Amino acid sequence: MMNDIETNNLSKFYGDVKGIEDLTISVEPGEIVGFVGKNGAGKSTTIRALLNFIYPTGGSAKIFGLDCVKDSKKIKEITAYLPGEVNYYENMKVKELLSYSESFLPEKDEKYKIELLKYFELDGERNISDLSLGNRKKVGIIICLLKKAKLIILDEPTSGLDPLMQKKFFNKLLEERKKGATIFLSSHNLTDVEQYCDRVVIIRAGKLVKTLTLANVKEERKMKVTYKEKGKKKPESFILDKDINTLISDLSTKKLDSLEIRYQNIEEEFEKYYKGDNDDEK
Amino acid sequence: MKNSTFEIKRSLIIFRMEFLRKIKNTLIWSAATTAMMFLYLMLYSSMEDLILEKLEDMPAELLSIMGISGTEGITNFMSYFGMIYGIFVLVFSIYSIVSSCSLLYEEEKSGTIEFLNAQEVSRLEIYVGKLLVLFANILIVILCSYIAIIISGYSVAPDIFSVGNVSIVVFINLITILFFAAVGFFLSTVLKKTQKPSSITLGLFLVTYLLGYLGDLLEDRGTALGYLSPIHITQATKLLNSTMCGGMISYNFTGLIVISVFTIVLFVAGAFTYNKKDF
Repeated sequence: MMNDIETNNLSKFYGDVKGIEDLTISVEPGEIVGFVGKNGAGKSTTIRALLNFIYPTGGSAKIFGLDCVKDSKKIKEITAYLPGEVNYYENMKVKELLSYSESFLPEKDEKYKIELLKYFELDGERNISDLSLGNRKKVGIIICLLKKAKLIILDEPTSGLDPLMQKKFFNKLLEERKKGATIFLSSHNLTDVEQYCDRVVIIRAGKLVKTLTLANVKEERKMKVTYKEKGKKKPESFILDKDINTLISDLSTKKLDSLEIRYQNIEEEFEKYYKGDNDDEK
Repeated sequence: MKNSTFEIKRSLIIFRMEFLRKIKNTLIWSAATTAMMFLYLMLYSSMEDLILEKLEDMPAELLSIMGISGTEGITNFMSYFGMIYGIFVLVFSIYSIVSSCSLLYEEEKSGTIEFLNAQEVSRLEIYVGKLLVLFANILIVILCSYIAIIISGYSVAPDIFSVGNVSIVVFINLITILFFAAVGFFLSTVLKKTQKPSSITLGLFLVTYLLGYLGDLLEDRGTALGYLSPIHITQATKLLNSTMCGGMISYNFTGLIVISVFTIVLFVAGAFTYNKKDF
């Protein structure tokens, strides 16, 4: 089966400065894939190369089997993109910007536009220059959704959105996925990634560190034990690598102030890749 | 999936939006230059003696820079127009540079290019859309002043006023104005967003203008310098002298053809470099 996104040793160097190097990733149809990494890891560079905003210096990238350089216009017709930094024409109204964006589409859907404005609680009469970051993000999200694209690429989609709006946004994304869309999103919000993504691609210093299937991660994640003994100042903390009954039996011999046993969250799992403890794992 | 070749329809969408965004600015420039042109030309009769007096005090070298070989010609409305239009060509050139540099550069500087690039539109369609806005803006400004010239010409000197000669001057100088627009447009596609194309183009404009000026001062020894100055090549007074004395036969067309070719080459090359640019 053809992947919706596929890069093969994709590289981008700005002179001697590395953006990304030999990046090979894939996104299957209907997936929601999170793309995570520290600031400057190369997430936006990858997305911009996929959309031909920048030219790769090596390797190749394909979207729906189309070459990202040669077929960029065809790709734009079937791909929606939300940039990380939402910059729009300041002297326009929201509804004017939406109409402008719609004028490039083969057909307009006025009803859906109104529905989206209402859903995201945005006033179409407001000037772009008066909008907060969150509201500008909403404009970008609506522009993306109006396209009814097969592939939605989002760069930091929730930055600036309040928690309630973030939830509404992800619900909308899930609806789009149900309709058959594939979603590729870069994010620093690992909780969102954990909650909504099927897979996570982790990148560091321009290179792929690890691709994780979240269902497997959740299944394989270990328990973290934290306890504090009476009279001691600092709590003890460790990853449980033995039978839980043995642990309980061991702890019963101690006089405890507090005890916490929980599954490691996904952020803790990601942290080791962020920090670079597992370079050899692919 | 649709065929993804160049579609002028999409360029026209960009043209319409950009044109409307810039219209206020274009109208301000048009109103200001037209009013000034009208005022200068309408005041010809009352200023004739005053101008003559001032020009007589000027050194011959300075007069030659303005394309005036002797003060006797200034009593002629068409020569007076040539002198005034020569000054306005500088203003129009500056407008064309500012306008051409802002069209592509501002989009990158403000980050709105990210929005535009994400739409169903190719870079070539964006480029052509912006280019059409540039042409439209320049034409509006020039056309307004052209109308002012015709009205004032027929009002002040109906006997000597020649629409044909004025049209030749306006058209040929339009090539110079478009040349500087092409330089600005091309530099916008080459330079990074941290580098201002308008500063470099204005610098180039000034240098070429001064080279022409130097060429005039050096007379025969500086002829070659004159060829490096588009403003100098299409100088309105020289054009008028040619049209009136030799029916354009005495006019040097080589320089004009070179400017025209460079203008076309720069606009075409700009399309290629814009297509290859990293945003």
